[in-house]
Amino acid sequence: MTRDSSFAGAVVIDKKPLELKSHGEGLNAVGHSVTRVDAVAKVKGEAKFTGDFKMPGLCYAKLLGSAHPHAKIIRVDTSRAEALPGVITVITGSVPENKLYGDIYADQYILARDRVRYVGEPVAAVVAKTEDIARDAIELIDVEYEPLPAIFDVEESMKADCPIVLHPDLLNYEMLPKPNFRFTPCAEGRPNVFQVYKCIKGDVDRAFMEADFIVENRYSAPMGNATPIETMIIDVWLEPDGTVNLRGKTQAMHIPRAKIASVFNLPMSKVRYMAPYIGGGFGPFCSSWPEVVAVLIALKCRRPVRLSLDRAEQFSIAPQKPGRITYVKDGVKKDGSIIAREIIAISDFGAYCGPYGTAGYVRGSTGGVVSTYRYPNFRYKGYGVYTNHHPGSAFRSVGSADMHWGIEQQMDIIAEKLGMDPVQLRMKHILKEGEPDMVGETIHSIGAEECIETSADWLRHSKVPAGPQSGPWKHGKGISLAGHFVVSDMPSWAQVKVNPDGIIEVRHTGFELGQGCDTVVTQVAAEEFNVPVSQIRVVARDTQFTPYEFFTAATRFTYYAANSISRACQDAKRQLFALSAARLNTSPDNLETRNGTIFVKGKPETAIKFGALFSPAGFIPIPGGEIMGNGFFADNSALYEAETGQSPKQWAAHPYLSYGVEIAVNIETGEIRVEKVVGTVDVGRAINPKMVEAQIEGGMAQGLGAALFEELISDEGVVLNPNLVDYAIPSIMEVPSGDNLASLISSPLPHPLAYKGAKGVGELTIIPFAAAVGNALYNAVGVRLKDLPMTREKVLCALNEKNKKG
Amino acid sequence: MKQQLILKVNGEEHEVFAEPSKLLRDVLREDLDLMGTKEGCQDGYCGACTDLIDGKAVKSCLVLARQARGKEVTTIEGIANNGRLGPVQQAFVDHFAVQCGFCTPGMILSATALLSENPSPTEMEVKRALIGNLCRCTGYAKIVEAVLAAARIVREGDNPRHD
Amino acid sequence: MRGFQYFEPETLSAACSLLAKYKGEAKVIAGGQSLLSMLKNRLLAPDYVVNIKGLSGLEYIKERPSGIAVGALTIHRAIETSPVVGARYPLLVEMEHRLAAVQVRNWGTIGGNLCHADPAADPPPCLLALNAIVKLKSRSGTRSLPLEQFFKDYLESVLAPDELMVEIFIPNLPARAGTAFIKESVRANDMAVASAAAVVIPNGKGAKEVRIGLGAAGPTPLRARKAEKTLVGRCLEDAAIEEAAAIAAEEASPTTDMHGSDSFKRQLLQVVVRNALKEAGQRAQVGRAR
Repeated sequence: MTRDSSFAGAVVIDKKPLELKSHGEGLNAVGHSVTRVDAVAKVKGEAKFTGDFKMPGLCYAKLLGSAHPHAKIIRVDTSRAEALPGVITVITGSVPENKLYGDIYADQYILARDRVRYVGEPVAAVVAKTEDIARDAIELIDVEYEPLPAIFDVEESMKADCPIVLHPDLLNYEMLPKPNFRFTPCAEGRPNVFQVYKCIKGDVDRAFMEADFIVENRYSAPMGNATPIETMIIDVWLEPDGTVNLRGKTQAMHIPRAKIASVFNLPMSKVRYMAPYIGGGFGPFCSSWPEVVAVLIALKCRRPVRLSLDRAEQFSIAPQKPGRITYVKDGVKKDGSIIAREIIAISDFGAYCGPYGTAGYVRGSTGGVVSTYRYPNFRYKGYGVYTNHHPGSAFRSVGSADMHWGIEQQMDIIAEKLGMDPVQLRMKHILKEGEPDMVGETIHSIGAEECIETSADWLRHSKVPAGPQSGPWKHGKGISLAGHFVVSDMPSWAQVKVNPDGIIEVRHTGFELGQGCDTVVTQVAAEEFNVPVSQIRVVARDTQFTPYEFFTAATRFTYYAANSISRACQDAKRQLFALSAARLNTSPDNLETRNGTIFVKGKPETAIKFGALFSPAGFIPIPGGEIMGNGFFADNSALYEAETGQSPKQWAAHPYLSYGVEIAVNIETGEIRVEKVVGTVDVGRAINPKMVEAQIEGGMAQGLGAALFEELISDEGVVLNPNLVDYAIPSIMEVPSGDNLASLISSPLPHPLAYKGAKGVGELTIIPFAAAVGNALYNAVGVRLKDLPMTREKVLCALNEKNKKG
Repeated sequence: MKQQLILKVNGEEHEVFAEPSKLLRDVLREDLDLMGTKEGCQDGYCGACTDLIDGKAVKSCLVLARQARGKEVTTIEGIANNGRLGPVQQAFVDHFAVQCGFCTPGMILSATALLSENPSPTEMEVKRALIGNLCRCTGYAKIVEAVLAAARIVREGDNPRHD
Repeated sequence: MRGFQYFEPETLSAACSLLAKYKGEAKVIAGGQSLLSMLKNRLLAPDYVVNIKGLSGLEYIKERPSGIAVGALTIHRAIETSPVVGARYPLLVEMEHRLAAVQVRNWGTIGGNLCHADPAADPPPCLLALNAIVKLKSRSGTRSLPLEQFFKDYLESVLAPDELMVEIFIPNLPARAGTAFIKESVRANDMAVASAAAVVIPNGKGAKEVRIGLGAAGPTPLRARKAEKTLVGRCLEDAAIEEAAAIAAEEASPTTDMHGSDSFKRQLLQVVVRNALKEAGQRAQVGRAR
C-alpha cells in the first residue's frame, strides 16, 4: 500500500486546547463528582452479578485441564465419568463442532483435539446436575498423553533455530482480519514468533556511535493474573427457535457474539448476549473465551448450563497476563539529551493467540512509549512469542506497565550518570503540544509536564515519615512518568430515548466493571439535556436491545461513548425541537431544553414539557411513535508502515500520569513498605473527578501488587500458587491511605476530539508505579532491581551483592 | 442426605433442607436467595462472603451452615433499615468507596462489626479490621475514608439506626 | 466439596465415642478455618465429619494458681481481647493481631489451630515458648503433654484418631519475664515466612532462662533449644543475641518454596529470633535499653 492511500482519511486536528480553571467550569453535570448511579444498589447487595441469577434446570459445566505442558493426546476415556450418577454429558475434542478458532490466527481448538500446549488447557468438559458432581466426574476422565518436549524460556523460544516448534502450521492458520493490523507470522524466520511490531525513527545505530555514553539494561516482568474478585462465569441457554442466549462476565459482548456466530455457523441475530454488573475486569474478559467453550457445551447438552471458573481454575486454566522481557538501550549526550533509544520487548504469549483478545497487545504496549518523550532516533521491536506457558490475556495497560518498569528506571539511571535531577531529565524530553511523536503523529492535549511537576512538588514537601529512620529501615523517594493511549478504530454507538414522563433513557453497551461507566453515561446525557442526573435512566448491555459497542477496554469507553451519547442526545433534541417548533411559533434552531421542557431561547416562560408531545397513551403520532436519538462516533487510524510503524494517525488520544512514592526498605529482611504515594493524572477533563481519583488509587494498588508481590509461579508449566493465599494481591494494610496518599488531577486540558475534552484514564494508572518504587529503592539503599516483583529475597540478594563489591 | 435446618437470618427464622456439608454462604445464596453474600475464592481469603454471626464478622464460606444454628446471622440485606441505608452504606456511597461492588457487601459488614465494637477507630484500626476483605478496584483509600466518616456519623448520632 | 456424614455430638464423651467408632475416617471440625479450605479444595475428603464447635464447656480462659487454662474451643478473638491474657502473656495478643483476619479470629479456635499442626501458624511458636501443656481426651482417658511433644510432622500431631484436644494450659511466668513475637510474612497478616517467639526470664542482670519458639522453620513448629542454652546466665547484649539468633537459624530446617529459598528463610529466621530476643530482653530489663 502506498503512503498516500494508506494515510487517507486521517483526522487532522488544528484546534488549540481550551483554557479552563476547573473541570466542571460552565457545566451542569460533567466535571462534577456526581454520586455513582450504581452505588446504592451495590451497598445494599442488590446489584446483580452473573452468579446471582437463578434459572430453572440450570446445569453446571466443569473443564478438565491438561496435565502436561506439551503432549499428544493418545486417548480420552470418558466412560467412568459418564457413568457417574448426575452426569448429563461429557464432551471431548472429538466432537464434530470442535474446530480451530482465535482472534488473530485460528490457532486453538475449542477443546484440545490431538495436542495440548499448556498445563490446564481444556481437554474435556463435563455437564452435571451439580457443580460437585461435575468436579467428581472430571476426576474420572482418563486421558493418555504422549509427552513432548516443552519450552518455557521465551528468549529461547523466539530464536530462529529453536528446536521446539509449537505451531508448525502457523503459516497455514486462517488469519482473521483486524482493522489496521499487520500479520507477521514466523517473522524474521523465527518459527515461534507470531507477531512483530516495529517502529523506527531516525538512525539509532549512528546515534549510538555519536553518543557520549550508552545505558543498556534488561528488565523483566513475570506472568501474572488480573485477579478481579469475581471470577469467570457464563450462563448459556437455548431458545426453542435455536437462539443461543448468554449471560456472563464480559468486557466485550459483541466480540464473543460474532465469534460464536462464525464458529458455530449461526446467524448473528440468533446469538444474544446480556451482561449484568461485572465484578472487576482489568482485561481478561475482552475475549471470546470461555464463551465459545460454553456455547459448544450448551449445544451438545441442550440444557441451560453454567460454565464458571473457581479461583484455582482462574489461575490454572484461564489465560494469564503475559510475562515480558524488555531491553532498553539509550544513547546519551553529556548535555543531558537522550539522542537515541532502542527498546526490544519480548512477550510470552504462551501456548496460543487463541480467542483471548490480545491482537492489540504487542503494538498497544507502545502507545505511551512513543507519545511521552522526544528522542531524535528511536527504534522499537515488539515480539509476540509462543511458549508452553498459559496463553496470554489482555491485562490493564497491555504490557505498557511492564515496559515502563524498565524505561522509567532507565531515566533515573541516565539522570544519575549525568548528575542531573531526574525530574529535570524527564522535563527536558517531554513532547510539546503540536509536536510529532515517535510514530509521526501530532501530539495534542499533553499534560505530562504539569503531572510530573505536581507529583515532584508533593514529594519534595512530604517530610520523611515519622517511623524509625535508624535501625534497619532506610527511606527513599522515587518518581516516574508515563503516557498511555486511547485506542483508535473501535467505534461506538448509542441511543437516547425520550420518555413521556420526561425521563431520558440512554441505551449503551459499555460494561460496568466498577470504573463507573454508567455514571459517566448519565452525566453526559444530563449535561446534554440540561437535567438533573436523576432524570437519566441507563439501559445497557444486551445485544438484543442496546447498540453496538466495541468493548470496554483499552482506555476507550469515555472517549468514544461520551461522544456517541452526546451525539445521540443531540439527535433526540433535534427531533424534539422539530416537533415543538410549530407549537412555539419559532424555528427548531431557536429552541433549547432544560429540566424536561422545550422553550424558545431566552424565554423559559413559554415552555412545552416533553410529556405534552405524547398522547395520554404514551406515543407520539410520528413514524416510530417515540423520540429516539442515534449517535455514532469513530476515530480511525491510518495503517502504520510495516517497517517503520509510522503513520500520522495512530491513537485517539493520550492521557498522562506521574507517580511519586516514598518507601521504607528493611535492609535485614528486604521488606519494602510503600509509605506515601502521589499520583497526578492528565485526563484532559475529568468527567467525574472523584471517579478519576478512584481510578488512580485502584491502579496504584495494582501497581503496588505488581511491584512487590505478584507473580504466577510455575514449574514445568504447573502453576504453584493458584490461590489468593500464595498469589498475593495487596490487602488494605499494604496500600497507603489518608494523608499518605494524594490522587491528583492536573488542570483541565481538553482534547479537541474528546467530549468536553475528556480523554480517559483506566489502564494508565497502573503503568509507571513499579518503576517509581524501583527508583525509590535505589534512592534508599543504592540497589537496582530489574526483575519484577521486588520480593524480599531479591532485595536482600542485591544488598548482599552490593556489600560484597563494597 | 439433606437435613432440616433452622437459621435465623436478618431477624427472621428460615427453615431449609440442606446437606450437612453445605456452607453458610451457599445456604444463604441458594436456599434463601440472599445474593449479597458473594463467592470470590475457595480459600477463605477474599472476604467477599463476609457476614455477621451474633454481630461478629465471619467468612461465611468457612462456616458450615449448621454451625450457625441458634445464632443471629446478618447479611448485607439486613443492614439497611426499611430501605434506609445504614451509616456505613451511606458513607460508602458518599465517598466513592464502591467500584465494581463485588467486595462491597463484605467490606460493609466488616466495617459495621468494627464500628459496633469500636465507634471511634483510628485509621490503622480501620485497616486492621478490613485485612480480611480484598478489593481489586479501589486501592482501599476511599474505603478507609468512608469507614472513618461512618464512624463520625455513628458517634454524632445522626443516624437513628445505630444507637 | 464432597459430601460427608455429619455428626454433632452434644457431649465431649459422645464426641470421643464417635471418633472411636470411625477411627481414622472421621475429621473433627471446630472453627473449620483450615479444614473447610482443604475440603473445598479437595485436599481432604473425609466420609465423616464430627462438629465439636457447639460443645459447651470448652470455651474459656480461666485463671488457675499456676497459670491460665484456655479451653480448646476458645476463639482467637477471645484470646486477643482477654484482659487476663493481655496482662500476663502480651505476646499472645501481639500474635493474634497478626493472625489472618478478624473474621477468622472470630470463628477459628485455638485448639483447632494447634491440631492443624501447620508449622507456619502463629500460635505454636508462642505457646512453645510459654511451655504450654495440652490436654488430650479420648474415651480411654485424659493425657497431658508439653506442646513441644505434640507436633510430629508437617500437618501431623500425636493426636490419636479418637482423641480431642480439650485444653491448653499456660504456666505462670515469673514477674519481670519479657516476651515477644515477631513474624515476617509476605503481606501483613499472611502465614509466616519466618516467625519467632521469645520468653526471657531474668535473674538479676542476666537471663535465668530463655525460650525461643520458631515458626515456618521446618516440618513442625519447634523450640530452638541450642540457642536458648547459649543465653542462660548471660546478659542479653547484642553480641550474645546475635550469636543465639545465628544458632537458632542453624537449628531450623526451612524448605525452599515459592516464598523463598531455604537460605533466605534462614536469614529471616535469624532476624526474627534476634528481634524477638531483643524485644523480650528489653521487656525483661536484661537487655540494653534502646
